[in-house]
Amino acid sequence: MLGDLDQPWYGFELCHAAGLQSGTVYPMLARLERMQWLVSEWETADPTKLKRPRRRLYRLTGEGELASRKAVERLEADLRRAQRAVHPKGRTRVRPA
Amino acid sequence: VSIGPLALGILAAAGALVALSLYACGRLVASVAADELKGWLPHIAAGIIATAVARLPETERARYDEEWLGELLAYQDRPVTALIFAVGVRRRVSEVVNELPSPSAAPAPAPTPDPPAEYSLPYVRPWAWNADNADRTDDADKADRGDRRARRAPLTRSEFAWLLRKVRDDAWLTDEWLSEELNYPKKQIAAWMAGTQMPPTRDVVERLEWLCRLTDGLLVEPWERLRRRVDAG
Repeated sequence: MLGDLDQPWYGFELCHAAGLQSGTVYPMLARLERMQWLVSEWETADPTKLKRPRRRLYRLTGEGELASRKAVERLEADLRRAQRAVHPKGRTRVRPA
Repeated sequence: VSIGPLALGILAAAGALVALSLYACGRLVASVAADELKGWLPHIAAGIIATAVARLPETERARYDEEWLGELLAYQDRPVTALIFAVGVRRRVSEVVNELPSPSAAPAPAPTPDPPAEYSLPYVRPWAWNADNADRTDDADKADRGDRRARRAPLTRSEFAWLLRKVRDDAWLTDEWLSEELNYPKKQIAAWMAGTQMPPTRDVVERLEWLCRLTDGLLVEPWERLRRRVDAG
Protein backbone atom coordinates (compact mmCIF):
# COMPACT_ATOMS: atom_id res chain seq x y z
CA MET A 1 0.00 0.00 0.00
CA LEU A 2 2.96 2.27 0.64
CA GLY A 3 4.18 1.71 -2.91
CA ASP A 4 1.35 3.74 -4.41
CA LEU A 5 -0.66 5.79 -1.96
CA ASP A 6 -3.22 6.80 -4.57
CA GLN A 7 -4.16 3.24 -5.43
CA PRO A 8 -6.96 1.79 -3.34
CA TRP A 9 -6.86 -1.93 -2.47
CA TYR A 10 -9.63 -4.44 -1.91
CA GLY A 11 -9.57 -7.33 0.55
CA PHE A 12 -8.86 -10.24 -1.77
CA GLU A 13 -6.14 -8.27 -3.54
CA LEU A 14 -4.47 -7.59 -0.20
CA CYS A 15 -4.66 -11.29 0.70
CA HIS A 16 -2.87 -12.17 -2.54
CA ALA A 17 -0.28 -9.40 -2.22
CA ALA A 18 0.52 -10.24 1.39
CA GLY A 19 0.32 -14.00 0.86
CA LEU A 20 -2.02 -14.27 3.85
CA GLN A 21 -5.35 -15.97 4.41
CA SER A 22 -8.58 -13.97 4.47
CA GLY A 23 -8.98 -14.90 8.13
CA THR A 24 -5.75 -13.06 8.92
CA VAL A 25 -6.24 -10.06 6.66
CA TYR A 26 -9.80 -9.02 7.56
CA PRO A 27 -9.26 -8.73 11.35
CA MET A 28 -6.14 -6.67 10.56
CA LEU A 29 -8.10 -4.40 8.23
CA ALA A 30 -10.80 -3.93 10.88
CA ARG A 31 -8.18 -3.06 13.49
CA LEU A 32 -6.31 -0.62 11.26
CA GLU A 33 -9.59 1.00 10.32
CA ARG A 34 -10.52 1.36 13.98
CA MET A 35 -7.13 2.97 14.63
CA GLN A 36 -7.81 5.29 11.67
CA TRP A 37 -4.69 4.18 9.85
CA LEU A 38 -6.94 3.03 7.01
CA VAL A 39 -10.14 4.35 5.56
CA SER A 40 -12.51 2.28 3.47
CA GLU A 41 -15.23 3.19 1.04
CA TRP A 42 -17.40 1.48 -1.54
CA GLU A 43 -16.26 1.46 -5.12
CA THR A 44 -18.09 4.18 -6.99
CA ALA A 45 -18.16 2.49 -10.41
CA ASP A 46 -21.49 1.07 -11.56
CA PRO A 47 -21.64 -2.70 -10.81
CA THR A 48 -23.82 -3.32 -13.88
CA LYS A 49 -21.07 -1.95 -16.07
CA LEU A 50 -18.36 -3.81 -14.16
CA LYS A 51 -20.47 -6.99 -14.28
CA ARG A 52 -19.49 -7.80 -10.71
CA PRO A 53 -20.50 -6.55 -7.26
CA ARG A 54 -18.93 -3.34 -5.99
CA ARG A 55 -15.90 -3.73 -3.81
CA ARG A 56 -14.90 -2.20 -0.51
CA LEU A 57 -11.70 -0.25 -1.15
CA TYR A 58 -9.06 0.44 1.49
CA ARG A 59 -6.63 3.35 1.51
CA LEU A 60 -3.91 4.50 3.94
CA THR A 61 -4.52 7.74 5.86
CA GLY A 62 -1.72 10.23 6.54
CA GLU A 63 -1.37 8.85 10.02
CA GLY A 64 -1.31 5.29 8.72
CA GLU A 65 1.30 6.13 6.14
CA LEU A 66 3.58 7.70 8.74
CA ALA A 67 3.18 4.78 11.13
CA SER A 68 3.73 2.15 8.44
CA ARG A 69 6.80 3.92 7.09
CA LYS A 70 8.25 3.96 10.60
CA ALA A 71 7.44 0.27 11.00
CA VAL A 72 9.16 -0.56 7.70
CA GLU A 73 12.20 1.50 8.70
CA ARG A 74 12.36 -0.31 12.04
CA LEU A 75 12.11 -3.68 10.32
CA GLU A 76 14.85 -2.75 7.84
CA ALA A 77 17.11 -1.60 10.68
CA ASP A 78 16.50 -4.89 12.51
CA LEU A 79 17.29 -6.85 9.36
CA ARG A 80 20.49 -4.87 8.81
CA ARG A 81 21.52 -5.50 12.41
CA ALA A 82 20.81 -9.20 12.01
CA GLN A 83 22.77 -9.27 8.75
CA ARG A 84 25.74 -7.56 10.37
CA ALA A 85 25.65 -10.09 13.19
CA VAL A 86 25.79 -12.97 10.71
CA HIS A 87 28.34 -11.41 8.32
CA PRO A 88 30.38 -8.85 10.30
CA LYS A 89 32.31 -6.46 8.03
CA GLY A 90 36.09 -6.41 8.09
CA ARG A 91 36.32 -9.62 10.01
CA THR A 92 39.45 -11.52 9.04
CA ARG A 93 39.72 -15.22 9.10
CA VAL A 94 41.93 -16.48 11.88
CA ARG A 95 44.56 -18.77 10.48
CA PRO A 96 45.71 -21.71 12.49
CA ALA A 97 49.20 -21.27 13.88
CA VAL B 1 -17.00 -80.99 -12.94
CA SER B 2 -14.74 -80.26 -15.84
CA ILE B 3 -14.98 -77.00 -17.82
CA GLY B 4 -13.93 -77.06 -21.36
CA PRO B 5 -11.60 -74.44 -22.90
CA LEU B 6 -14.51 -72.88 -24.77
CA ALA B 7 -16.53 -72.33 -21.60
CA LEU B 8 -13.45 -70.86 -19.92
CA GLY B 9 -12.99 -68.43 -22.76
CA ILE B 10 -16.62 -67.32 -22.58
CA LEU B 11 -16.34 -66.86 -18.81
CA ALA B 12 -13.20 -64.72 -19.16
CA ALA B 13 -14.82 -62.58 -21.85
CA ALA B 14 -17.91 -62.07 -19.68
CA GLY B 15 -15.72 -61.08 -16.71
CA ALA B 16 -13.83 -58.55 -18.80
CA LEU B 17 -17.09 -57.10 -20.07
CA VAL B 18 -18.46 -56.71 -16.55
CA ALA B 19 -15.23 -55.02 -15.37
CA LEU B 20 -15.30 -52.64 -18.32
CA SER B 21 -18.93 -51.78 -17.66
CA LEU B 22 -18.22 -51.14 -13.97
CA TYR B 23 -15.28 -48.86 -14.85
CA ALA B 24 -17.39 -46.86 -17.32
CA CYS B 25 -20.22 -46.51 -14.78
CA GLY B 26 -17.74 -45.42 -12.09
CA ARG B 27 -16.25 -42.76 -14.36
CA LEU B 28 -19.71 -41.48 -15.22
CA VAL B 29 -20.83 -41.34 -11.60
CA ALA B 30 -17.58 -39.62 -10.50
CA SER B 31 -17.87 -37.05 -13.26
CA VAL B 32 -21.52 -36.31 -12.39
CA ALA B 33 -20.66 -36.10 -8.69
CA ALA B 34 -17.73 -33.74 -9.39
CA ASP B 35 -19.95 -31.49 -11.51
CA GLU B 36 -22.60 -31.55 -8.82
CA LEU B 37 -20.08 -30.68 -6.12
CA LYS B 38 -18.60 -27.91 -8.27
CA GLY B 39 -22.08 -26.46 -8.65
CA TRP B 40 -22.69 -26.62 -4.93
CA LEU B 41 -19.35 -25.16 -3.77
CA PRO B 42 -20.31 -21.48 -4.30
CA HIS B 43 -23.52 -22.07 -2.33
CA ILE B 44 -21.57 -23.76 0.45
CA ALA B 45 -19.11 -20.83 0.50
CA ALA B 46 -21.99 -18.33 0.59
CA GLY B 47 -23.57 -20.30 3.44
CA ILE B 48 -20.31 -20.19 5.40
CA ILE B 49 -20.09 -16.44 4.82
CA ALA B 50 -23.69 -16.09 6.04
CA THR B 51 -22.84 -17.87 9.30
CA ALA B 52 -19.78 -15.60 9.71
CA VAL B 53 -21.85 -12.46 9.08
CA ALA B 54 -24.45 -13.63 11.61
CA ARG B 55 -21.80 -13.39 14.32
CA LEU B 56 -21.09 -9.72 13.62
CA PRO B 57 -22.89 -6.86 15.40
CA GLU B 58 -26.12 -6.02 13.63
CA THR B 59 -24.89 -2.59 12.53
CA GLU B 60 -21.96 -4.08 10.63
CA ARG B 61 -23.67 -7.06 9.01
CA ALA B 62 -24.86 -5.37 5.82
CA ARG B 63 -21.43 -3.94 5.09
CA TYR B 64 -19.46 -7.16 5.63
CA ASP B 65 -22.12 -9.30 3.94
CA GLU B 66 -21.83 -7.22 0.79
CA GLU B 67 -18.05 -7.01 1.00
CA TRP B 68 -17.38 -10.72 1.52
CA LEU B 69 -20.07 -11.99 -0.84
CA GLY B 70 -18.77 -9.56 -3.44
CA GLU B 71 -15.30 -11.06 -3.10
CA LEU B 72 -16.79 -14.56 -3.47
CA LEU B 73 -18.75 -13.67 -6.58
CA ALA B 74 -15.68 -12.13 -8.16
CA TYR B 75 -14.05 -15.58 -7.97
CA GLN B 76 -16.94 -17.63 -9.31
CA ASP B 77 -14.68 -19.44 -11.73
CA ARG B 78 -12.47 -20.61 -8.84
CA PRO B 79 -14.94 -22.25 -6.43
CA VAL B 80 -12.26 -23.94 -4.34
CA THR B 81 -10.42 -20.62 -3.79
CA ALA B 82 -13.72 -19.01 -2.87
CA LEU B 83 -14.42 -21.82 -0.41
CA ILE B 84 -10.99 -21.41 1.20
CA PHE B 85 -11.68 -17.66 1.44
CA ALA B 86 -15.03 -18.29 3.14
CA VAL B 87 -13.59 -20.82 5.58
CA GLY B 88 -10.77 -18.39 6.45
CA VAL B 89 -13.23 -15.61 7.17
CA ARG B 90 -15.48 -17.88 9.24
CA ARG B 91 -12.59 -19.20 11.33
CA ARG B 92 -11.38 -15.75 12.40
CA VAL B 93 -14.62 -13.79 12.41
CA SER B 94 -14.48 -13.48 16.20
CA GLU B 95 -11.32 -11.39 15.79
CA VAL B 96 -13.15 -9.05 13.42
CA VAL B 97 -15.94 -8.79 16.01
CA ASN B 98 -13.36 -7.80 18.66
CA GLU B 99 -12.08 -5.01 16.46
CA LEU B 100 -15.49 -3.52 15.78
CA PRO B 101 -17.00 -0.93 18.11
CA SER B 102 -19.17 -2.64 20.70
CA PRO B 103 -22.89 -1.90 20.24
CA SER B 104 -23.35 -1.86 24.02
CA ALA B 105 -20.82 0.94 24.48
CA ALA B 106 -22.19 4.40 25.10
CA PRO B 107 -22.78 6.12 21.77
CA ALA B 108 -20.19 8.77 20.97
CA PRO B 109 -21.48 12.31 20.60
CA ALA B 110 -22.55 12.84 17.03
CA PRO B 111 -19.88 14.82 15.22
CA THR B 112 -20.97 17.98 13.49
CA PRO B 113 -21.14 17.53 9.74
CA ASP B 114 -18.18 18.77 7.75
CA PRO B 115 -18.69 21.95 5.77
CA PRO B 116 -19.47 21.38 2.09
CA ALA B 117 -16.27 20.59 0.25
CA GLU B 118 -15.70 23.72 -1.80
CA TYR B 119 -11.99 23.08 -1.84
CA SER B 120 -9.58 20.30 -1.22
CA LEU B 121 -7.63 20.72 1.99
CA PRO B 122 -3.86 20.49 1.75
CA TYR B 123 -2.39 17.15 2.60
CA VAL B 124 0.14 18.19 5.19
CA ARG B 125 3.24 16.11 5.61
CA PRO B 126 5.57 18.07 7.83
CA TRP B 127 7.76 15.05 8.52
CA ALA B 128 8.53 14.60 4.82
CA TRP B 129 8.40 18.24 3.92
CA ASN B 130 10.86 19.41 6.50
CA ALA B 131 13.47 16.72 6.26
CA ASP B 132 15.43 18.63 3.61
CA ASN B 133 13.52 21.90 3.38
CA ALA B 134 14.39 23.63 6.62
CA ASP B 135 15.74 26.73 4.90
CA ARG B 136 13.30 27.05 2.02
CA THR B 137 11.62 30.34 1.26
CA ASP B 138 7.85 30.70 1.05
CA ASP B 139 8.10 31.25 -2.71
CA ALA B 140 9.99 28.04 -3.21
CA ASP B 141 7.37 26.27 -1.12
CA LYS B 142 4.58 27.65 -3.24
CA ALA B 143 6.36 26.60 -6.40
CA ASP B 144 6.53 23.07 -5.06
CA ARG B 145 2.83 22.79 -4.35
CA GLY B 146 2.49 20.35 -7.20
CA ASP B 147 5.15 18.17 -5.68
CA ARG B 148 4.03 14.76 -4.48
CA ARG B 149 4.96 15.56 -0.90
CA ALA B 150 2.73 18.61 -0.85
CA ARG B 151 -0.04 17.31 -3.10
CA ARG B 152 -3.61 18.20 -2.33
CA ALA B 153 -5.87 15.48 -1.07
CA PRO B 154 -8.78 15.39 1.36
CA LEU B 155 -7.69 15.77 4.96
CA THR B 156 -9.97 13.87 7.32
CA ARG B 157 -11.18 15.18 10.64
CA SER B 158 -9.09 12.68 12.58
CA GLU B 159 -5.98 13.48 10.55
CA PHE B 160 -6.46 17.15 11.25
CA ALA B 161 -6.93 16.47 14.98
CA TRP B 162 -3.79 14.33 15.03
CA LEU B 163 -1.81 17.00 13.20
CA LEU B 164 -2.93 19.68 15.61
CA ARG B 165 -1.88 17.58 18.58
CA LYS B 166 1.46 16.79 16.93
CA VAL B 167 2.23 20.47 16.38
CA ARG B 168 1.30 21.29 19.95
CA ASP B 169 3.34 18.44 21.45
CA ASP B 170 6.37 18.56 19.15
CA ALA B 171 6.76 22.31 19.41
CA TRP B 172 5.86 22.35 23.08
CA LEU B 173 3.26 25.01 22.42
CA THR B 174 0.81 25.95 25.11
CA ASP B 175 -2.87 26.14 24.25
CA GLU B 176 -2.63 29.94 24.54
CA TRP B 177 0.13 30.11 21.95
CA LEU B 178 -1.75 27.84 19.61
CA SER B 179 -4.87 29.92 20.03
CA GLU B 180 -2.89 33.05 19.23
CA GLU B 181 -1.17 31.53 16.23
CA LEU B 182 -4.37 30.22 14.71
CA ASN B 183 -6.51 33.19 15.71
CA TYR B 184 -9.20 31.02 17.28
CA PRO B 185 -10.42 30.65 20.89
CA LYS B 186 -8.96 27.80 22.92
CA LYS B 187 -12.36 26.12 23.21
CA GLN B 188 -12.67 25.90 19.44
CA ILE B 189 -9.17 24.46 19.10
CA ALA B 190 -9.99 21.87 21.77
CA ALA B 191 -12.99 20.78 19.68
CA TRP B 192 -10.75 20.38 16.62
CA MET B 193 -8.25 18.37 18.66
CA ALA B 194 -11.02 16.09 19.89
CA GLY B 195 -11.85 15.43 16.25
CA THR B 196 -15.47 16.50 16.53
CA GLN B 197 -15.21 19.38 14.08
CA MET B 198 -13.33 20.39 10.96
CA PRO B 199 -11.80 23.86 10.71
CA PRO B 200 -14.22 26.19 8.97
CA THR B 201 -11.70 27.72 6.60
CA ARG B 202 -8.76 26.60 4.64
CA ASP B 203 -6.70 29.42 6.17
CA VAL B 204 -6.56 27.52 9.45
CA VAL B 205 -5.13 24.45 7.81
CA GLU B 206 -2.64 26.48 5.81
CA ARG B 207 -1.64 28.36 8.95
CA LEU B 208 -1.11 25.02 10.66
CA GLU B 209 0.93 23.75 7.75
CA TRP B 210 3.10 26.84 8.02
CA LEU B 211 3.42 26.30 11.76
CA CYS B 212 4.51 22.71 11.18
CA ARG B 213 7.28 23.79 8.88
CA LEU B 214 8.30 26.62 11.16
CA THR B 215 8.27 24.58 14.33
CA ASP B 216 9.90 21.54 12.83
CA GLY B 217 12.67 23.59 11.29
CA LEU B 218 13.11 26.34 13.81
CA LEU B 219 11.78 25.27 17.16
CA VAL B 220 12.16 21.55 17.69
CA GLU B 221 15.75 21.22 16.51
CA PRO B 222 17.20 24.16 18.55
CA TRP B 223 15.28 22.98 21.60
CA GLU B 224 16.71 19.51 21.20
CA ARG B 225 20.23 20.86 20.74
CA LEU B 226 19.86 23.07 23.78
CA ARG B 227 18.57 20.20 25.86
CA ARG B 228 21.43 17.96 24.76
CA ARG B 229 23.93 20.69 25.75
CA VAL B 230 22.27 21.07 29.15
CA ASP B 231 22.17 17.31 29.63
CA ALA B 232 25.86 17.07 28.77
CA GLY B 233 26.60 19.64 31.49
